[in-house]
Amino acid sequence: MSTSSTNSDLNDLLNSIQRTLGGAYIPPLNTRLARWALYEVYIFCLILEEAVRRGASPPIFRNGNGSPAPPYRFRTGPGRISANDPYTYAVLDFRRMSPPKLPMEVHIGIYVSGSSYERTQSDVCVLFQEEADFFRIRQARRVLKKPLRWWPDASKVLLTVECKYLQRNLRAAVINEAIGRYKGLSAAHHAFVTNTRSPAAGNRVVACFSSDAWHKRVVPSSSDDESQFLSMVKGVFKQYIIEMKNIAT
Amino acid sequence: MLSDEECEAVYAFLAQTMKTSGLDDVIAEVEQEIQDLESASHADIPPDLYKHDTASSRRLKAKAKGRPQVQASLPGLDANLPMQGIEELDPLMQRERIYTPQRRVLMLIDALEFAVVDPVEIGEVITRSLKQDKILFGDESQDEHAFLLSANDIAEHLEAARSLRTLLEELRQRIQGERI
Repeated sequence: MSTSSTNSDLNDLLNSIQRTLGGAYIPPLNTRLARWALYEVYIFCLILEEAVRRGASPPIFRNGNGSPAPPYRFRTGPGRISANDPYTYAVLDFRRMSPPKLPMEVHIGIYVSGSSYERTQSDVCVLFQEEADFFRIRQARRVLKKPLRWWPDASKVLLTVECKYLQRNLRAAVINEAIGRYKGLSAAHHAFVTNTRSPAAGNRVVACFSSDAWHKRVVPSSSDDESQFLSMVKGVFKQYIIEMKNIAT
Repeated sequence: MLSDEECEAVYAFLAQTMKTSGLDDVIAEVEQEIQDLESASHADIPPDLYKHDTASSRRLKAKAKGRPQVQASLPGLDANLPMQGIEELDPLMQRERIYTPQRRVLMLIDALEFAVVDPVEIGEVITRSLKQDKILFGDESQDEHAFLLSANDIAEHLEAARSLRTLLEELRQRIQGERI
């Protein structure tokens, strides 16, 4: 840098950034995987808050093995729903609605299966509790003349969210893989959420799914983008509540 | 607005600062994105850069026509070296790059914000929303990736994270020549 006063100001600014970075930085979040896992839980929280705003009771948190004791534990890699894992999920109860609706569960990083019957990762998954209970109790579902289904049926999934937390725009190969994966899932709603802007990835998603499937810059500091995501979730729960087939008996 | 040289100096300073904080992967992601897009833009390279045959294609053509093999004769290239792709020759001059020094440094600033500032604020939303002081992250098969998020840590770093965002925004405005 030159010695002019403007550049002296710039040097001061850079030195302030250097000093402040040390205080802002949280070592456990030093890895890409940690930031990614954190982002999934953030999306999980946004969905729960919106569900409550739409009429669900405050969520009840459970672990796969039933013990609800804190601290909550979330997956950093995908796994199957089971009755003996330590991972936390949320139960959404709509019984106080009139007429009452079937309860749902919200999970992070689980496998579900679509028409291929093969396992497919869902970063944040809202599904019927009945379906989750089935796979907690049994290993697989047998239907005559069909392959065994080892993971929850995607047709019992209300919303599946693909979360991408990156430091750069999404690469074509990465978003194409996610699109391909979600194309095979017959979930009622699909969403792709990222912290970056990734306009090209957005075009690819919108071309393959509905326009409200793509959500960029969903972070606390970008309130408009966060609101847009919440508005999509609101629509999902609104439709769920209206549909007669979801009435609890 | 900062000059190209100033932007390059700012980039180098930030990259060094980030490396010291263990954010090498963040710099690598930014540089990979720049490289990906510039590689994809090779269609814009002046056509005369493509006017040479590679050593292997010459050998193939010569073999097919029964002529003696001719080695590659691109200036500055040792004919005995293995064949190199056009990407490895790096024919793009600085002025031809789609990512100018200004754009590059803005990308690095964004990446720093995504890697440091946003996660602290996201952590704050999570601990508040779940009403938990401590949250565990882990996986049976990847114990080395397990970590603990604590509300205390978040509270300690939140103010600094927000100050950093303000400083980064000021730097962006300097780079783009906007009035502060």
